[in-house]
Amino acid sequence: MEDQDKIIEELESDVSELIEKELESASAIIGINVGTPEGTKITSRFKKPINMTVGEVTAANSSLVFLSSKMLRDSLNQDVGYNLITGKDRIVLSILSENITMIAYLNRELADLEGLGSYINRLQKLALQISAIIETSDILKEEIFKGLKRAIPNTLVLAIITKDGLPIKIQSTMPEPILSAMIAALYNLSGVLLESGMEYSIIGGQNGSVIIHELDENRILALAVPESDERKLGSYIAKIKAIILKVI
Amino acid sequence: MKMFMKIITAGDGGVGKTTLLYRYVKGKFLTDTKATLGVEFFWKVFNTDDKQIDLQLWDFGGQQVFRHILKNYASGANGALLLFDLTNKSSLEQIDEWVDICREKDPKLPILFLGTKLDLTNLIVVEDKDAIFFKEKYGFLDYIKVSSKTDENVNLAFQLLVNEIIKGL
Repeated sequence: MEDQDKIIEELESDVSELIEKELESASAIIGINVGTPEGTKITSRFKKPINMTVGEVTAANSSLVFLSSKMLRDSLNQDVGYNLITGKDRIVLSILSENITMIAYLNRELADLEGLGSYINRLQKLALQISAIIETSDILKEEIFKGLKRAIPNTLVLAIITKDGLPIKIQSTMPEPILSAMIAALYNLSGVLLESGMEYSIIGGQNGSVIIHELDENRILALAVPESDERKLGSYIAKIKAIILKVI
Repeated sequence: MKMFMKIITAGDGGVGKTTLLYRYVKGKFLTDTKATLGVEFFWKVFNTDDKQIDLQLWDFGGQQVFRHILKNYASGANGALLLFDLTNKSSLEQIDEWVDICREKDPKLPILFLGTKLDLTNLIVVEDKDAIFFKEKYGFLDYIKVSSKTDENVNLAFQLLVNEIIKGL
């Protein structure tokens, strides 16, 4: 079983518990599907089966969130909160939270009767709870690894570590404790020299370079590439930034 | 079960931090060391009955010029070894500053106090009471005398510190 499958399996049981509670207590909710912003399914629970498969729902929702976000940003310079789609019998409510996309199917008659606003609120709260679970799980680093390997396929070393030097996920032939300590020390030293937080750093060699990039408040990302061309390295930095923005 | 621990080693330049780590990790005595420039790293797998622990060992440069950067490196440490030279009384003079560096981010960081160069019997000038004064002042886990040359108490020091860290987890 691949790492990501294992992580998703563990996550699924935690998230499913929350969703089942929600389904039991809210009569209008027919089902809820949760995925990553990249379109990977995390879990799905429906009182009655629908025609689409779980994977199809997750992918469709991921695409919906992408389009809605783009539309709102480009037209009104706003971040998307939710997307409400109303049909004759059903309402589909798609919610984008920090680390997840969530889609809920509602019985329209019941939802109208009980107040759609209250459903939007409670589903947004649920999305935040699930998002917190995801944030502390391994799925984010898997997504980052996957994204970086795809975007920069010639990466030789890939590491996610804490700013204190604790290895989180590392792909390298170097011993993890040594590599993570070195990255953390370089990061901290850069902060001392800059007299503020470091965004990214490039250690350039003749035929290869190491890029160290801040991932979030607590973590750092490092990768080594057989590349020394400044323009190429610049494009790698842009790719790293785009992946971090998408996943974190 | 696999675990990970960050351990820092602190103390004035020349007290034998690198030599101690080299002895512990490589099992050899280093006769010729250069001053550590800022920080260096060692790694050792420590096995207990039910745990395999990756020890990430941070070897702090002891020279005064590097002190201002060391506090950043101490962040997230699980424990520290604070060394002084049994043959050099002045290596005790800056213990207060070293404790500040080690404990700035974690005031309760477990610290084991080590007197080094125990093999140089005829040159030892630091008395036990002087070291015990600091042990009590700062609540160090213990005070042990070690020799990287003869390997005396080297493993014991790491065992004590790691076991104490495990207890606190």
